[in-house]
Amino acid sequence: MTYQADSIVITGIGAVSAFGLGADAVWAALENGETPRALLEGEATSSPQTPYGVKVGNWNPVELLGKRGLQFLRPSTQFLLGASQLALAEAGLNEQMPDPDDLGVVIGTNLAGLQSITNYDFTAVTEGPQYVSPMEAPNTLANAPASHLAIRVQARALNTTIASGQCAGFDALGYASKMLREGRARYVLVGGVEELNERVLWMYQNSNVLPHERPEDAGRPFDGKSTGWVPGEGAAVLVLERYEDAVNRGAKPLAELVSWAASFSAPSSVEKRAKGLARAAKNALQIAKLSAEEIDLVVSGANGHHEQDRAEAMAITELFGEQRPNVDVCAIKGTLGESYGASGLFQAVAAVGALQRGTVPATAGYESEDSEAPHLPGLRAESRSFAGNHVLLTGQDLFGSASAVVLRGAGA
Amino acid sequence: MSRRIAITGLGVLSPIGIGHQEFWNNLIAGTVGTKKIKAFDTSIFDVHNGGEVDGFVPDQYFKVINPEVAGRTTQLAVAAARMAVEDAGLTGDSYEGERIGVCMGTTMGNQSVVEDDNDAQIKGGSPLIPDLVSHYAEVYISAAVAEEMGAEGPISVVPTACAAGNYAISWGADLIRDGLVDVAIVGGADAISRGCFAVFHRLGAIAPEVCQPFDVNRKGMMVAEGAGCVILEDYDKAVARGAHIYAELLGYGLACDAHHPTAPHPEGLGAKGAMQRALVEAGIGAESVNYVSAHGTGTRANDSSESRSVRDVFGVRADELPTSSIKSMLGHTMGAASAIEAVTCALTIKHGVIPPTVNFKESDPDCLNQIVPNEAMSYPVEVALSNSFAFGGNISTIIMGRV
Repeated sequence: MTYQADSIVITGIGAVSAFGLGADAVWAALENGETPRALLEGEATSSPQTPYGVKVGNWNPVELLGKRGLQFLRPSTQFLLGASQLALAEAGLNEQMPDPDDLGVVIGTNLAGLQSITNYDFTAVTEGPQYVSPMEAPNTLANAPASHLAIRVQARALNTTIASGQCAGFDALGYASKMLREGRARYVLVGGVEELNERVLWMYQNSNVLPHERPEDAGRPFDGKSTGWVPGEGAAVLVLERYEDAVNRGAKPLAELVSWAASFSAPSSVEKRAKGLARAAKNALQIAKLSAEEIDLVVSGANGHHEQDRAEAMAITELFGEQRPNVDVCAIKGTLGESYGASGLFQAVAAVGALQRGTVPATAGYESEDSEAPHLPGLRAESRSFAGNHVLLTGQDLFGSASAVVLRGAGA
Repeated sequence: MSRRIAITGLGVLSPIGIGHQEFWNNLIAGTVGTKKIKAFDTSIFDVHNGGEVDGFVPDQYFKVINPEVAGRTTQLAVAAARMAVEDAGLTGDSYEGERIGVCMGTTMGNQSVVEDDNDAQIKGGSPLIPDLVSHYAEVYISAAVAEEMGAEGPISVVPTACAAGNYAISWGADLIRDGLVDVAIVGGADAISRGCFAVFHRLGAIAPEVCQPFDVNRKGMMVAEGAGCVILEDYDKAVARGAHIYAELLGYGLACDAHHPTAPHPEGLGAKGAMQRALVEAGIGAESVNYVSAHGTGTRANDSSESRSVRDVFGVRADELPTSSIKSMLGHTMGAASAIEAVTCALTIKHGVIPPTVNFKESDPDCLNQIVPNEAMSYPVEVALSNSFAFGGNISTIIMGRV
């Protein structure tokens, strides 16, 4: 399968993650099945069980971004700026940046402004409104990372932030693809970003997704003994453009973003969640003009939360059970954690890695099957070789939305 | 872009009324809805006025979810959506759930949850209900709308600050054009927020008494709350089911100033780009537009840069073309603002009356001249253009026309 002139292709990838800078570091960690865990003692203040997280940890943003203005940016914004810089460099756009009116920004994120607005309100009330900083004002909003990014890279075509919970990254991919198809931008930086902090953990704790017991067993995708999410953070960014534009400027397409679809189903039961996800995936296949038989790998959003993972397993079974029961399945959140609005982009990064490097990522943390979920014959704990060309990404949000994306490799 | 988009239902909650009839009556009467804020103690601030939705009873609009586990922004969004769906005459039989999508915009999201928790910590109080905290997530705004309205298509939230309503409307239009849904429940919502007030207060952007867009002595914007919802529908399908069509959504344009985190580009660069792109997409020339619903916040920077961009796009006509800012009456309802302004544009086309820019005393040579000062004007509006600008230089313009 060769690309069409108007295919939307990925020409650059960047990431800031627990594994350092760049997609290579993510791929290596996924293939090795790494499971870094940091006790979230500073962030989780009210939990009976201090949970583990996957944190970006120490990194030096100055190297990548310069020193100027950095002290006014939240960690999430710094992650996004760093990942974007790397993606632009890989796409060959950093030396000569595009015309600002050709460059757009589409970011999936939900909680980038939460800590900042909480502190802003708290300080105004307890110390007085003159004690809040005007420089911090723009950081109180969810679109702060995207806004800072557009200024830094001079993107004037469009600047959209999508906040659809765990589906935000997927939906950003769908949105960005539509913008390119309509000619609203020639290049789009599409990213996902979240940060871990006290307020984010407060929301997760109240959402009943963090472990009540055995926190060391959290974050095991599809595993029967998993005790909940291991929350993650970081940023992943792709450069998207039309195939024709990419080849005309000598850029190398890494993969094609073939289709996106999404659905909502009231999350009253695992079955309803599964139905919603299966419907989104079927629609994505239909738009891609592919049958389930033609999908070679599923990069699942499973994260170690039973209700969400069972829905994933049921949806995958419904989709592939008869047509391709042995389809390769992997889940990357054992390694990267549940990075919420960023997870769709990290799944896309993992998929491009599988296509480029011919390796299915490990499903780190997966040891024993969940007796209440259908058996997935193509799910393995270990990484393995891969020769396929079509990858399906799946994800669902706690409140009932589900999204799916299909990627295609450069292929033989 | 083969499919046309009909606007078939309107819902609104605002500081000048709930429901589009009451809203419209007060709008064309020039009623000022901003006054002393009741929702929080403003004594720590130098200014005290804002716009609140009075008499809102969430129970009247919720049939499935318990509104007590929803932040006020979600409550307002569900109420606006309920009104719009009923106004459009949509019943459970009109469309399959999966053919209905939802996209809502917001600036502050469910910020009431954060502030209630801050209050509990400051004053000492019991922790919030876990479900309420969990539902802080902005996606819950659209998830709640979907659950209440039986929508099962794609849902999302666009938190593009004060331009969010237009972004949401635009995405809904794209979903219909791509054939992914037949109906999109779109709009924006924001509850009054002390944190938001603190932000604009610190930036010195809040007017002490009233909002006076385009006036030479304008003193700033006013923080307000509200929700606006419009039902977008595949035009042919709307006609086929005999729906009342208020107007047609003709196109939209996006842009980003990429200039400053909180200030607009002084020359209105992004605004100009968004308006021009919207005109191209609508397939009309600037001369076809005969009403501009301005972003018109009442700050010095916004109104002069917006005026400049309108003059750049419309040339000599700019100062004759009726342009008004309903924020003079409502204040700035944040993520709801452009959604409520979309409701306004649809009603303007329907009634042939343009709402005024009130509190106007003296013109500013840096600002537009024909701003429909103080009194509504009868005018047959064929095509309305609505601007929305936001922090981060996020800009979205939509255009709708008479059918």
